Order: sequence, then structure tokens, then C-alpha cells
Amino acid sequence: MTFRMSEQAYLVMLALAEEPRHGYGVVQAVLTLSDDQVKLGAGTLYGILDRLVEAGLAEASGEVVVDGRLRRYYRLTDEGLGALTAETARLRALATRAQRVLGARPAFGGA
Amino acid sequence: MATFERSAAFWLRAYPRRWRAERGDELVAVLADLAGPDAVRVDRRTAWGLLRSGLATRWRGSPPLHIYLAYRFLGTPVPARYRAWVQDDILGPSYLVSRALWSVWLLPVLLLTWPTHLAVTFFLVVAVTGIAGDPRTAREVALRGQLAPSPYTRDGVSDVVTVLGPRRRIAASAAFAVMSVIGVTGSLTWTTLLGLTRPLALALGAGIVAAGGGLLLLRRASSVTQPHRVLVGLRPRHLVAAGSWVVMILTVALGSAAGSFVELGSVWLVVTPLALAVWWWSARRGSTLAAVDVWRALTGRRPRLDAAQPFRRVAAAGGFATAGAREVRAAGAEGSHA
Repeated sequence: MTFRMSEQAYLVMLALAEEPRHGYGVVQAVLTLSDDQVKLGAGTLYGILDRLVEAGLAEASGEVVVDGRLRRYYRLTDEGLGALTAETARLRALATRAQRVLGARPAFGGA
Repeated sequence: MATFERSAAFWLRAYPRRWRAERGDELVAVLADLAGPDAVRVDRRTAWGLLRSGLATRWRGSPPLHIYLAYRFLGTPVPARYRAWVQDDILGPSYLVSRALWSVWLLPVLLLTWPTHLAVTFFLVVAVTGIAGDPRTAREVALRGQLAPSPYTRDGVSDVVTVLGPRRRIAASAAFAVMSVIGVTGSLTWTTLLGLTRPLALALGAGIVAAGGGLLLLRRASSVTQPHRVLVGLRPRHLVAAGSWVVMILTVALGSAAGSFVELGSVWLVVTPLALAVWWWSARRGSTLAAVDVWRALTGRRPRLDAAQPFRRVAAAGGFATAGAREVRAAGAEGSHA
């Protein structure tokens, strides 16, 4: 089943790769990883988590009740880790090619 | 904090029923964390996001068009991966509406053969009568069909949980009260319009004899203790259906079409005394008589023992474990209250 890897989904997977997290923890981690650029809404987050779980890239790893509220933790599966690594390699290769293209351009008046 | 939860629960209705049952609490906790401790409502941007994601979740779970149409119009069982969706659909509010739309085909047929006002009235009455049926039974029957265990399950593990519960039967007093009201209206209307002519008087006589015979049959029929039965009494939907029939009778009669339906007058007069008699008998004899018992007695058969019914639900798969089983147990328990 093909999983559409958007930038937000990539960041969520990265957050889960660090350690198992619950929903709020993922939002905070994504904020840090994206340097405060990406603030996930709860709806978007759960849409991504649902799709990750359906594709077998993530799974629930436990629940805790804190302050009368249910916190469910998620973690990346092995396939998820593989997909994340592959995507990171792809981005790195892309960044390398982009650097080469930009480096080959004539400089703009002393940039 | 309760107000925030109420606000969140409202916006969460965009998500499918089963999703809410399994993940709703978790999402509300995340919303509360994101909103902060002094939030009273869900803010507009988050609400919009919830609406979009909820609809996207519904879309993702729904089957492709050909399966959807086959299910909607032919009642075809859906493939196993859409079972959660079909359970949501059957247990949701739209199910009764889509079932009622079944009678839509009747209207053009009627319009071709009958005068317009008659056709429309009759069609409306047929549609409204459909609501007199017990919606819970209709839903459980549909679920039983959709979630039937398949002989072709590949890994032998089914995601369907079955719980035994009672059978719902309409009480005889309620059913015959409704029939008496309709019958009395018909009889009075026709005798008022046509007067007590000879055929109608003969019909009334036959009706009284039938009532006496019916009571004898009922008295003779033994009553059986029914451990797996729940009696359903009179409900608003019965009154609505009865009211629609009364309106139709008056419309037909006063629409000066009574002359061409003179035979109907005799039918009312034959049936009504029996309906009244059975109503009186079943209302006074304690509340254990169901309409089906009366039917069996009047057709000369013994009462049949109701068996426990299977209630089927989709169990939650994987890590989100308990909600499915909780729902099924609730369905079984619900069935034991009238």
C-alpha cells in the first residue's frame, strides 16, 4: 500500500523515530525538528497517524492515564524506520544535487 | 474543563462513530493539551482542522462506488475490510432514511394507475407505515447479514464478535390497539357515508362472530414463558403510523371515491370487532402476550419459544482493543430493557 509521504508525515515519523511519543509529544517534537516552522493541528496529526498505522509504518505501543486523560503512545515499526531512512537518503541525494546546481550557476554580483 | 470537552465532542462528530468510540478520548486529550488549561472552547482553526480530518477519515473508510451502490440498493454484503464502515452506516441515523427511500419506486407506479391525490396519499402512508417497524430489530437484522461469518476467511480469525441477546417482539396490546383505532375509523367512516346497508350489516355480523371465535382460540392457546423475549409496548412511531392511516381513510372516503370502494366498508366491519376483542383480551391478561402469539393462536398453532438472537459487531482490531467488545456487550444489555 503506497503511503503518501508529505513533509508533515516525514516530520511525524522522525519524531516517532526518536522515541515512542503520545499525540501532544509528537506535536512538540515536530515543532522542534522543523525549527518552529510546522505546528501540527490535532486533526492533521491524527490523519497522519491513522495513515501510518494503516500502512504498517507505526503502531500503538501503550496507554497511560494521566490526570484523568488517556494518553496513547505510538512508535515506529521496523518498516517505518526503513521508510524513514529511505526518505532521508532521498532528501540528502536531492540536497546534494541541488547544491551542485546552485554551485554551478554564475554568481550574482559578488554573492 | 467539561465545557471544553463538550465543545471537542461536538466537533469530533465529523469522525465516524467507531473511530470516535476507539480514539475519541485520546484525541480530546491531545486537544486539551494543545489548547492549554484555560481553554473553554475549541478555537476555530482547530475546529476546521477537525472537520476536514474527520471527513477525510470517513472518506478513507468508505468503499468504492460499485460496492457502495451494490450495498445500498441490493443489500449485498460488503468485503471484510469495509465491515467497520458498514456497521457505522447501519447504526447511524441515516440508515432509516435510506431504508425508507426503498419505497420511492412505488410512487411513479401509483401515479400511472390512480388519481393523483389518491396515489400521493397512499404512497405517503406506505412510507410512514415503514417507520412502525422496530428500528433496532431492523438494524440488527441488517448487521447480522453484513457481518455473517464467511466460509472463506483466509486466516480463520474473524473480526466479528457475537453476543446472544433477547428477541424483541411487539406486545399484542400495542399492536391491536393500533389496529383497533384504524379499524374503528374505517368502520365509522363507511357506515356514516353509506348508512348501515344490508351488505355492511352482514359484514358486521360476520365480524362479531369472528371476534367470538378469535377469543375462543386465544383462550385455548397456552401461554409459554419466554426467557429470551423482550416485549415492546406502544411507541410514538406506532401512533404516527396509525395517524397516517386514519388520514388516508378519511381522504379516500371524503374524496367522494367512497362509492367505488364500497367493498372496503365490509372489510373494516369484519376486521374491527376482532381487533377490538383481541385488544381487550391482551390488555387485561397481564403483559406477556406478543402480537406474534396472537397470530399463531388465531391460525391454530401453538406458541413458539423465542430463541436467543445473535448480535454481531465488528471487534476492534490490533492495539485499539476493547471498544468493539464493549459495544457488543452494551447491545446485548440494551436489548434487555424494553
